Amino acid sequence: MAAMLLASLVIACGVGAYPIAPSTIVRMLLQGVGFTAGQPIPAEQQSVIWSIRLPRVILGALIGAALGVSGAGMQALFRNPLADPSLTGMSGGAALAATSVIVLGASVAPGLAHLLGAATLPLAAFAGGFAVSMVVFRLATRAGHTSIAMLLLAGIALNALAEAAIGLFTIVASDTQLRTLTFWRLGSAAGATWQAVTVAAPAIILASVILISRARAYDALALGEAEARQLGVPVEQLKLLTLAGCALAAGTAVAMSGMVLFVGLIAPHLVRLACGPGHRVVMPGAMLIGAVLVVGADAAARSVAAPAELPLGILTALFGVPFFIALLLRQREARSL
Amino acid sequence: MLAANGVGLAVDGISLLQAISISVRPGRLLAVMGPNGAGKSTLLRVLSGDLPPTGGEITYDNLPLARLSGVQRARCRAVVQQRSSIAYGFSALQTVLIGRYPHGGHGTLRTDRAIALRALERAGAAEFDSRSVETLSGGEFARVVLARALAQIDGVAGSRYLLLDEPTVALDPAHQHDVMRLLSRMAHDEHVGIFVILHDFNLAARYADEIMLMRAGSVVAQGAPNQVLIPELIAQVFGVEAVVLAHPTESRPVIVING
Repeated sequence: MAAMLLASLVIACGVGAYPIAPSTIVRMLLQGVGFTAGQPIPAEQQSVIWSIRLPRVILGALIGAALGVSGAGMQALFRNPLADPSLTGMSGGAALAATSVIVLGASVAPGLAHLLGAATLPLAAFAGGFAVSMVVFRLATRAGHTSIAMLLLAGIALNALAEAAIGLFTIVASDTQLRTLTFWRLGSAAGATWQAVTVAAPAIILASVILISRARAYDALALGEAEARQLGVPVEQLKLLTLAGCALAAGTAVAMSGMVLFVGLIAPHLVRLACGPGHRVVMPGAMLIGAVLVVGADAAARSVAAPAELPLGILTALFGVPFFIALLLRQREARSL
Repeated sequence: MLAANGVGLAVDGISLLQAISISVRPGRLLAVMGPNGAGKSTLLRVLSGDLPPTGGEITYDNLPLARLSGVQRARCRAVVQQRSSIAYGFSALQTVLIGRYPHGGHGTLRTDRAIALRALERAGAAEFDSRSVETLSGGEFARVVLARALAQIDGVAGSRYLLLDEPTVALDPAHQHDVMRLLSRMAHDEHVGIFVILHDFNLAARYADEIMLMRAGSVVAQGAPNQVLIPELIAQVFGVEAVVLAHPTESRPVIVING
């Protein structure tokens, strides 16, 4: 899986309105870290790779990893393969918080926004995602049992609420803010800069470490909450930590690229199909597969309508929705919905 | 010894357990019987630490249960719940390995695996170790759940307890007796203290060292099978008329319900 990710990173660097051969990219990367590999590469290609493609591909990989690992964390927590940050309202809450920062941030708390700098948006998105997912979780859980139907319905309700509030913000937004918003909301990694990468990377890596380190507890949780508690798992603490980790990962992803749907749903499922349900494999695996999916989808978004670009979120939804429906049908077969 | 001292539990003003004092001793098999709603499963949850009692105290080897951490509890007692399920298609072996959670970092994966395979073997579930639990029947899955509990307390020094809520209910007669024989062996040969909720008089009569009858949140009677399983007590606790016969080959009573 790691090899798949590396290959997709290299290939994706070359794809787009200005195609560059993968071999050139490998040579350039090797030269970049000090090796002498073949003949020198034209400055034009160098600058396309170093300042446009590479940060974009790396940011895409980070976003995908964040969505994959948070999807796996949500599915472990809710003991159901239909859970996902976007379906349970977490991404909606994060998007609402991010929108309010874009629109109101400079006027309401300019000092704070300035202090936090580029981290303002991810932090707000984390807070929004965490708050909404706590509400959804409370709504869906009764006496230690989480109803997946309640979870999805509460997710719909809060997503709708977030949508409405975002709509309200677009009315009061200025023209420049509106352009930023529209561009960002459709889901795109086009705004990638090295600065964005340096903001996103620590948050996403921290969240991933938290979530992956709980893999054994997630296995125990698959038996049920009471059973996990009897095995010595601190269940309440695990729930909070998981929601926080997922909100940090998914919130950062939303802040960076808007709503990129369904990656969190698909990635863990693919890993389970290939390697079984053990969370020591599913958690890191979903992270890698999520990265491959987003890097691939972003490369496709850049090339199918080149030189124009499709929003990334539209592409992932096109593939994600049939997948989601297939999963729904399987659950209906098992009569567990 | 796992002891309840005057334990009571009230939820929303409704009293579910009243002043229950019992002890589960290592090396003994205690069967708990009673009609539906008598508080048997609630008592099991209180003994396991799942529900904190609203009165009295639970102690494990004279240590108050409330002072033991989750992992400390998990190392000395395993619980088999009545309704068990597992999300995702874990294999039977993986499911049993999850029982090694409280020992994480101590045993290597290889010894855990050996323990899990042994537990599957003992629970009569060895033949489907690699099958996904989603493909198992209710009775087969019940044996995997039992194996998970066995693996959880395997290799623990000190007192060990097994708390089981109707472990035989999904099983065919042959496997019912297999499971009860296993529990009895674990008590007598391995010095495990066993608390098992049963509904079948004859399984209890045959394998229990001691039987406790519960009704409406209280203990009605406790003692050896032939002291407790008598027509008067069965009528009082269950509201059914029973005839008690002598077992043809063993010194155990045989109970026939007349309705």
